[in-house]
Parts: sequence; C-alpha cells; structure tokens
Amino acid sequence: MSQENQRIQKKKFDRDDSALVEIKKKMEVENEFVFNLSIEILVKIIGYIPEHRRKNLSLVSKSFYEAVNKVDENRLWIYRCGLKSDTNIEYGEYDPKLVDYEKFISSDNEECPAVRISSINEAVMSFFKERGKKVKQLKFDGIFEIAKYIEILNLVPNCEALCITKLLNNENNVTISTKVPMLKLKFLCFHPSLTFDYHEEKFLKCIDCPNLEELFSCSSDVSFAQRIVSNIYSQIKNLKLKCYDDEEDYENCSNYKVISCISFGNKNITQITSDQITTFERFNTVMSSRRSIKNIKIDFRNSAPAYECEQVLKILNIIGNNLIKVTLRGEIKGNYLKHILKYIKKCKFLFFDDLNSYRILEISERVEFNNLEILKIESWDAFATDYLKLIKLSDNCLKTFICNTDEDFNETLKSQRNIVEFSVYSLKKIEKDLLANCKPKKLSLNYDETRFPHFNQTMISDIDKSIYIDFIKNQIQLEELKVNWVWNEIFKTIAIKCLNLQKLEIDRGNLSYDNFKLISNLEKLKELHLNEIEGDWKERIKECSNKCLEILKLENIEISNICEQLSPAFPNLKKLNLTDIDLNYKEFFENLKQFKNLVSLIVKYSEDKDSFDIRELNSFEVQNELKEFYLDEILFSTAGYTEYFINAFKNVEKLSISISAFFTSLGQLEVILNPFNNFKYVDIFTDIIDFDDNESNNVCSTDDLLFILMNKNLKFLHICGLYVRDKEKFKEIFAEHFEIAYISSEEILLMNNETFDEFKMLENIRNESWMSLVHKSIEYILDEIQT
Amino acid sequence: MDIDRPSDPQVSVVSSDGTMFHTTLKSILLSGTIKDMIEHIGEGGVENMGAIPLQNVDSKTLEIVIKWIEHHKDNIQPTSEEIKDKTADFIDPWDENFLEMDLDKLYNLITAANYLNIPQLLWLSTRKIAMLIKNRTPQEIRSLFNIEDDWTPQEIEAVQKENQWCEEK
Repeated sequence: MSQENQRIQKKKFDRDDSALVEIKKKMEVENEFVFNLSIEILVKIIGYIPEHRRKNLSLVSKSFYEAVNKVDENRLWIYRCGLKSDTNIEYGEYDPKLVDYEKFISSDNEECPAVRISSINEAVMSFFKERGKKVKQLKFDGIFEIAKYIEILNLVPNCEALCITKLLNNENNVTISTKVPMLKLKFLCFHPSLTFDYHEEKFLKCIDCPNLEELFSCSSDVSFAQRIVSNIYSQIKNLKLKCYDDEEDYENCSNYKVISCISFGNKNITQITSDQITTFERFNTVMSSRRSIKNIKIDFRNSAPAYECEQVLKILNIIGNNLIKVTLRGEIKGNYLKHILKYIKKCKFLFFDDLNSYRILEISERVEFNNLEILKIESWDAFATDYLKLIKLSDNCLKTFICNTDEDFNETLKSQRNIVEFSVYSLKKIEKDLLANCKPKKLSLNYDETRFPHFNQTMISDIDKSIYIDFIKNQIQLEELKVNWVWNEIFKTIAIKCLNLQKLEIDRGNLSYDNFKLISNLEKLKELHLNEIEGDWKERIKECSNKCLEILKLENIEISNICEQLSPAFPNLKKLNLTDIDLNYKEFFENLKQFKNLVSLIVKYSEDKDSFDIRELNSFEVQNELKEFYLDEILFSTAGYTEYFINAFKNVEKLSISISAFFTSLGQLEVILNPFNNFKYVDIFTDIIDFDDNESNNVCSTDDLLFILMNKNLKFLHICGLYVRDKEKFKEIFAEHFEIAYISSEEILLMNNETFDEFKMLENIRNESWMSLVHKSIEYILDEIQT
Repeated sequence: MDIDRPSDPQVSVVSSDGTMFHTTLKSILLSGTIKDMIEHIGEGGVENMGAIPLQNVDSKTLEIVIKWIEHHKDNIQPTSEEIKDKTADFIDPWDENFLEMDLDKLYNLITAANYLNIPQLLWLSTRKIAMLIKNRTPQEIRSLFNIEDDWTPQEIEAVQKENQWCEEK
C-alpha cells in the first residue's frame, strides 16, 4: 500500500472509534444480536460506500461478497442520485482521484459540470442549449439515434470526458458531413459489451478530438482497435482496451483474471492493455503496424504456456529490437525464455516478476545484454534462478540490481532440500552466473526469513548468513545498498567492505553495539534507513559516530532519549524521519535544538503514551533552522491552540499535517495560514470539516475562506476534509490569485505559478499526473523536487 | 363537503405481535406499501377500514417507525428513484438523533422501512450502517456485527485473486 493510502486509511480508520466502542458496549450487553440483513438491503448499504473502498468488504462473509458483486454490476456508472424523470438528465461532478470510467460522480447540483442523459427530448435539448458550454463531462446512456447525439455534442464545446453506452443506430444511411470539433475532449469511454463496434466506429468518425488522451473501449474485436488507433485517433496517447471473448459473460467480468497484460508505447501510444492472453493473436495485427513500441509486460500466470509463448514470440519478433523496458511474469518454459531474451536483448530495464519456471537442463548458449541498466527479480522460485544462466551481461553495464525473493513459493519447493537449494541459487548463482563481470552500484536484496515457517529456522539462517556475507564482501563498489534481515556479521561485512556506500537501508535485523559502531567506517554515508532493528546498539548510539550522515530514517524502533542519543552520533544531520516510534513529545521537542543543522523533520504514526498537550510547546522554540515539518497521525490531548504550535515552529516554511484533534474550527486554520507566519507550502489532511461525521458543522462557504487570500506568501495549499458549499464561486475568486484553484467535494487545492511548474516537472520525471502527485505527501514531493 | 370528517383521519395498524397503534392518514401514507393498499381500496374506504395488519413488523419497531413518520408527515418525501444516494445532502439533526439506537433496533428498522417502502427512512438507516463499516477491515466488520466468517482460507484466496484483476498495473 502506498504511503499516501496508508495515511488515508489510518486517518479514516480512526474516525469512528468512539462510536465503535459505544456500539460494542451495547452489543456486549445485548448478546443475542444476530446479523441477518437480506442481500437486497446489504446491496443498498454497500452501494453507499465508494467503490474504491468497497472491494475489501467482499472478504467479510459470503453474503457480503454476493452483495458487493451485485453492487458492482453498476460499476461503470455509480448511480448516486435519481434520474430526473422529467428531463432524463443527471448531474454530476468530476473527481480526478478516481480512475477511468469512475471519473463521473453524479450529484444533485445542477451547476455541476457532469451530465448523464438517457434519452433525448425537448427538455434535454433546451438544457444543452442553455448550459451546454458548462458541461465538462457527459455520459450518453443508451444512444439509439446517432444524429441527435451528434447535435448535442455540438453544444458542449468544453466537454473533457465522454462516456457512451448502448450505441445503436436505427437510422439507415445517416451521413454526418462535417466532424464535430471536440477540442477539449481528453477521455472517451465506451461501455463494455453493450456497444456495437460498427456503430462505435461510426460514431468516432463523427467527432474530431485531436487532444484525446485516453480511450477506454471494451470491444471484442481487436481489429476495431487497430482501426481506431491507425485511422481515427493516430494522435491518441493511451488506449486502454478491454477485450472479452464472450460478450455474454460481461456480467461476470469481475471473475476474469488478468491473464495477460501487454503495454507498449511510442511517441503517440504509451499503453495498450488487454485482459486475455487469447487476444495475443489479434494484437499481432495491431502491433505489426507499431514497430516503435518501447515497453512490454508479458504475463504468463494462469495461462497455457505453449500456445501463448508462441504468440508472444510472434509479437517479439516484430517489436523486440525496439523494446527498452520488459517485464516477465508467471511460468515460462526455458526454451521459450531463451527466445524471448534473444528478442529483447537491447532492453535497458528487465524485470522478472513472480516468475515460476521449469528447470532448464542445458544451457548451450547465453544471450548477451549490452545495455541492461536495471535488473529486478521479484518473488521467484529456486528453479527460476536457472534463468539467469541464460543472461550474459556486458562488462559493467548493470547499474542497479534488485532481488526480492520474498513470497509466492511453489508448494513443491517447500521441502528442506529445496530450501538449501533455494538459498544457494538465490545469491551464489546470481553472483557466479550473472554478476561475474558486472558490479552494480545500486543493490537491493530482500528476502523473507520466515518464508518456510515449518522448517528449521536456525539452519536456514546460518546458510543465508554465510551466503549473504560471501556475496556482499565482493560488492565493494556499491554506493547504495538495501538489505533485510541483517545480523551482526552481515553488518560488519558491509561496514568493513562497502566503503563507498552513500546510502544504506536496513529492514529488520539484530545488531549489537560493537558492530553498529562500525558505522563510523562508512565515511561517505549520507543516508541511513533503519527499520525494526533490535539489539543493544539502541542504548548506546551516542557513543557511535558518523559525521557525514545527513539523512536518518528510523522506523518502528524502540529508542529512548532520541535527541540526546542521536545528536552526538550524527552531528551533521539535516533530515530526520521518525516513523512509528514512541516519543515523549515534551522531551523530544525540548531537546530537538541539539540537532544544530536539522532543516527537515518528519514524524509519523507516533503515539505518545500520555498523548501530547500542544500548549506545552508554548515555552520554547523548537528549532531555529527547521524549514520542513511533516506531522502524521500524532495524538494530541488537546484540540486547537494552533497558535502555540506556530510560535514553536515559527521558521517552518513547508508544513504538512495529518491529524484529527488539531483543528477545531476554521478559525484554527486561519491561525495557521496567517500572513505573518512563514508557511509557504501547507498540506492538511483533517477532519475538522469532516463531511461524514457531522455534516452540519463541516460545511463552509467561499466567504469563510477569504482569509486565505490575505496570505501573499502562500505558494501551495492543499486541504483534504474541507467541504465548500459554493464551489463555482470559490473557483471564480481563487483562480484570480492562484495558477491552480481546484475544488472537489472534500478538498481544495491552491498552487501558484512557481509551484505548478515544479509539479509539472515532477509529472515528467515520475510519469504521474500532477494531480496524483498532489495527493501524495509533501515529504514525497519535496524529496523529488530536491533530487 | 363533509364538515364532520376530520382533515387527517386516524388509521390503526397492528404489529406482528398484536399491538395496535394509531396514527394519522397523512403520516401513514409515507409508507409506499400502505399507500398502495389504501389507493386500492379507495380513499373513501379509509374510515371504514379496520386496523391494518403488518405481519413483518414487531411492536417495538413499529413504534419507532410511527415516531419517524409522524415527525416527517409534513415534509415532502423523495421517491426511491430520487434517493439512490444522497450522501451530498445534509442530514436533519433530528434524524441523526433519532438513529442513535442499538444495532439490532437499527436492523429491524431497516427491514421495516424496506417492507413498508419508506425510501427516506430506508436511506437514512442503511446509510447509518454504511458509515459504520466503510473504513473498517473485514475482521473489524465481522467483530462489530457478530458476523460469522464463513470463508475457508482457500475461498478467501480465490476471492483475493479475483480482485486482483483491477489491481493490475
């Protein structure tokens, strides 16, 4: 789960706890309570829960599963409000947090920019004549006469997203002489199964949308897709194509497993996704016209290997030489893999993901990779390591090697003999077969010590340790290393041998003080991450020393007197990240000034045993140099008093807060955003204004927020949990002062020109939309901007 | 015009356990089920009609339902088509307080609102449950509602795999 999701989940989870306790108490008293709601009612209940939160519910019980599936029958369009019977118009709003076809969320607000119509009459037409220019999202639910709908499209020049179902044309010989210009259309979706390709194609030919970015179609005919791509929308950037072999089976589409995924790209097409391996043959036709595809993901899980491998080879024969990034998943026979590797030998990024294999008995020839920069091996079995024998790396081409052998082991491998075999294979073979001539500077090794819980742990650990040590002591070139389950001997080897390390991440393990103090050997170390590391090192850190360390992240480690311990050991620390660590806040904040150079502080998921009274901050200034402060899930014993907080952190410019009992009112927010404070980037995840819990108190108007405009220093403001009644007015007023003034049902976003440029830059680097970046933490964003 | 006839005649309903309740016609017409029944016999027959038996609603629940419909009798009630999901609307604080009840009472209320076809009450009560479960893990939901976990580990694994299709990158 991403950090942001965790943050949201954790936040949301805390919300109803007092109510839960009350209810549980009542239930304990009245123990005869039985859950006996009918499926019909359960469907209604689950229907109120947003789809992205609904999936887990199917695991509660079989009745929940049945209900979730029934609700999901309407997944294409969430029927959130009633169809207005007099006009056949439904209004909605646009929520970019939701993907694809869920972009439409309807509401009762007629001013909303999304509209769904199910048939056309005079009222509908007059609606579009009057307000068509405001429509940004449009759904046609049941088109029977193309010409009439084309007429509507002429009235919605600002439409950005269009969704169409049940496309039928009962008018013979209709010809549309001129194309409808839809210059702002970015997203076009055709409902699966109920669409008829011929009419779909006819419809598409009627509109001109040169800026289309995404087409979501569920045609069963891939040649149709080819025609769309080649002839109609050659400028399209993304084509998401869902293919179902049996259209009748659409209702069960949630049972379809994704057997195969192919994604590829060139300057126009960046992605095509297919659900069925059996469509490979059809894709062949599409691909033959696209020789500049760069990325491919081939998934063999749950498939019939021989047939599909042949299909894959046909495709690779056409596009293989141009591939840069290749991901292989599932079960591939050795001979096929050899051919696959031959076709992709020019790629720079090769990922083996969840790979199971047949043993390769003989390797007569190896495939040489001259350009491979990143090799990543994730969740594979012992035999799959044999695949590496097929790969020959050119001298020093590999820059990064990632090996995560942590899950999904085949049942047949769970024997003692194979554990040994696995351990030997997983590192010794890698070293011998793969990395003999290549010394990557970045290495990530992760495996799960408890992967075979019913076998003798000591023996496994001993084998693992010796293999680890043998492997690492030869990696003296490493600049970045990430490892897990680190024991004293392994750490000692790292600290003595890997003297070029600039970044070290250790996830779980046990270290003694005598070994940990060897950290001083690593004279180039700038960044250290320690997660769940046991041992007596924690009691004597202050006696260790590393003067070059600038970034320290500690996670889930019990450590007392944290400032007193860490500041002498790492005197030049600039950034401190404490995640899931019990802190005594009073003591922590009082002593924070011992870090003379600290500019960034991140505290997450921390629970002070006695909780923290924010007023205690009043007596001191926390840290003069601190410029970035990220607080997530810190429990305060008092709500409000934000002015005490400001006084303490008066030099902070970048502030991110995700806490429940911090704000009590908009007034508290006003204190934070006061123009005399230094906060320039503010990201707040709150439930002051929590829509679900206490709606009548959670709603404000744009006028209530005008104080924000007083703050001329503000470059970025993102608040989740704020429900603003008059959204259009908000946009109108704030758009005059900010480059981006975005508002949805629960959040607002303001960004000035400079910050927006930073986000645009990140968008390119991360290949993520800037809006999705906004929903990540400031910590993440700042990290990215700085690097 | 019949001046003796009250503007809002009394109607009696009988719960499944035989308890009789009296309320007004205006109130009881909030129930789609009873409204259909009354329309079937014709308005004129209301006064002569005996107590309406409600076999699927016990007296405790019926008392709650009557309290709700009497409070809302003067409000315009949305149809079930209009309701669907009204999460964006404000909840009347009176309703919020009204729904502060034990879970078993809430269940019975939901079942009764469904049977009696009172869309607004059904929406309020089911939404209340939805708000309780929406951010919880399956285990927490089972614990909260005393639901038996009827999945086998193999079945759970199958369901999780089934869900994978929408998680693919």
